[in-house]
Amino acid sequence: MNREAVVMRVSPKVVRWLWASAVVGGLALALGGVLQPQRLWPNLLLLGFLSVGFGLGGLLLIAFRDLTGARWNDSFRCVREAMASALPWTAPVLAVILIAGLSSYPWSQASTLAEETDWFKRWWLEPEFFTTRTISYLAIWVGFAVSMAWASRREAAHDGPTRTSIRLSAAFLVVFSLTFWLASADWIMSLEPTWYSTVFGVYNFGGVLLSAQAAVTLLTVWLRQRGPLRNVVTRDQLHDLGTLLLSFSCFWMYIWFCQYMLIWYTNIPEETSHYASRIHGLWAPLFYANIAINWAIPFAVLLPRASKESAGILVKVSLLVLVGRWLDVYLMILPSTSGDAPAIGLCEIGAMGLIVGALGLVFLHALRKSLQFSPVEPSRHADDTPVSAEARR
Amino acid sequence: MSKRTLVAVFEREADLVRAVVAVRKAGLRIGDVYAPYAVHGLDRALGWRPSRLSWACAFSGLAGAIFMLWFQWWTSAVSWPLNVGGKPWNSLPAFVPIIFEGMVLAAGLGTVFALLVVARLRPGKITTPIAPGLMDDRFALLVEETDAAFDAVAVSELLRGCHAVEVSERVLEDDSPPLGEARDAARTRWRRRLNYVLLLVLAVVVAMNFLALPNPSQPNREFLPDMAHSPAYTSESANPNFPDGETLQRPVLGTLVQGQMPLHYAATDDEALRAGRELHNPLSAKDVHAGERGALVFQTFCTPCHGGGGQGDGLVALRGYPAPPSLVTGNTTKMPDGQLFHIITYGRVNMPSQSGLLSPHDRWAAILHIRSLQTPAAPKPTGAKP
Repeated sequence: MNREAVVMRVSPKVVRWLWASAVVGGLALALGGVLQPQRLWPNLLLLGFLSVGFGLGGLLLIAFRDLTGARWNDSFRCVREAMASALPWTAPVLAVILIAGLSSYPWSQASTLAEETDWFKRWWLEPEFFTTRTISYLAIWVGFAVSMAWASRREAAHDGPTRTSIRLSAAFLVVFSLTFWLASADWIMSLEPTWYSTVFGVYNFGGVLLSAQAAVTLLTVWLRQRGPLRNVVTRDQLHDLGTLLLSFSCFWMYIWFCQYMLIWYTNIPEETSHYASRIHGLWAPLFYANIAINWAIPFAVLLPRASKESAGILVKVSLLVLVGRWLDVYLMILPSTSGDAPAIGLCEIGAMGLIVGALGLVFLHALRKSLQFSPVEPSRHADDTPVSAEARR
Repeated sequence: MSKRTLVAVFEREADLVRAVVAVRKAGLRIGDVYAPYAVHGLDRALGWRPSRLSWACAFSGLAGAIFMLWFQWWTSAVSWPLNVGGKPWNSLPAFVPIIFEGMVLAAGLGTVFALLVVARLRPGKITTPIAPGLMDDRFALLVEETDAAFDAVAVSELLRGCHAVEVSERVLEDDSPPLGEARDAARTRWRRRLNYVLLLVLAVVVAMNFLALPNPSQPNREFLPDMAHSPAYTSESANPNFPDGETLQRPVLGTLVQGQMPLHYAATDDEALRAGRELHNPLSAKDVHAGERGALVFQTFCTPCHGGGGQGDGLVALRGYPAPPSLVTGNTTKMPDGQLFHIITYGRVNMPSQSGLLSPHDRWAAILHIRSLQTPAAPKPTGAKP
């Protein structure tokens, strides 16, 4: 396929809608911040953490491909690369949110931690040290995003990942697993400074992986319906996307339960406090909905082969899982920061609109750029396509 | 019934799939397809109904999960209820890991078993690939010769057009899955015999298990008992090396336990007065740590009867037990530290001895706290809680 054929043509309507979503969402968020100032920062944190998570998810999928040598999804690698290249845009936003909102963390008031916790936690949660760590994590990730995108552009002519790509990806996986584990503890878990769970970072990793797979599936199907991937993605590749979505959903549930069961079993007050504030009252429906949306429904729907091959069902499940990711992080942040009861108000809706619009625009921009460097090529099995079309009759 | 069949061998899966489509388009009958792994899209190209193996997997997984749920409920709530950390007998979260493992095990074994049954791979069955390389990197397509009008040459040409590397005509015996003739009869016979021997060994092992029923009233026979019997003397066993014949030796007469000095007083009021004259608090009132320790000891062991302020209004006294005299007024204020130490150590009237609960250091620390209660003007040591 030559380069002229892959020029990105997105209808201006879509772009207009994304702009509208971002602007209206931003205004709603600002208005909500004026009306309910205590809900503004938690929603900003949620927004920043989610959007950085999507970039990291894109990097993860690139690293998996480089290290496993999987070639089945190379024909739409532009999708995950565009996701990853959103990271340099979203990371500074999160850094500003975290540093500006430092006083919203309970440990930033010296008295909170003075009596109850050990010296290590006090030392670890020094505001200066926290800021340094935050900037380091984000800078490291952005560095990987930039260098992996550079390596990916260089390999476009090759058949498969270059040595540089493989080394970068291996280094990324090692560095990411440590930094993300610490970062999720720093940014989210320390909202409840007396609670801790060592699997918390892995749990967030499961969520990032699941939502990244959902985003890749959603965008791939969308670009297949009305974009440059129209004749590129086969039904078998949709099937593989659906299989991965199903398995990552099960992985998320597995880790969720790992954390829950140990805390439930030992039943120590300082550990159960996290669940006690989420499993009771009006939070309870959201708590159970989280499990249903992120695992039970996708599992039941995606189990039959036919639904993994159906573009329509994949889109619906991916959208559901993306909402589930929002809910998952919402349940991590909001019960610890604001209030005894959940509220979906201007702040929440505005933040959602802003993130959908802004990330969509960044993605489209990155996709256009990515397509210039790595043109869409039919997969090696593209000669299966007429067969599948034949068999579909 | 024997069938004449064309066997076409391919090197690429795409060629195989394309050949399947071409053969079906030509109206020919496909006997079977062989591939070393699952080829995506092949079953659709063949037009066969989807494999039912996934149903076998789903049902055996479900059965395993349900069995494990029932089994754990029965063992922990019905047959032998066991209190684990105060949880209810029937605690679903505790069952989930085993349910999960049982589901995975049953689904895996059930799927393999269903595959063996469907493929008729009974024990002792010897199969030989119809063409070399089918277990490795080659693919085979079998086209059946249906009637006299079958033009083997034309079909061979068609298959070669789809990049078949080899097309040969074979006669396959019955309509069981065609397995090809055994190429090495002697080797096949030996393999079959080995299978029978292994089966026999399995049966013998199982039978011996039943024959050698263990007798629970007898110790088991020991095999290589080196680890079971320690050559060292245990503390209670007889020992010829010592004059008294015991392994655990008594301490030398007059030995004291480290950190515990004996108290040479009897448990009488006279002796308490003597203790008051002779003993002095080794802890200083300026010692902040001792003060904190004393406050903690007092709060834990004294408050129930004497009350937080030492006025004899503890919860035990409020509920009818004879109230102890106040520690902050009257007689107690005049008692020297040594006498209080004697009273805490041996008890007095209704107060039992505290020597088993409190170390001498803690007793002296508690006395420090009592003194600080008696002089409310003095600043309380930090850490004292109301």
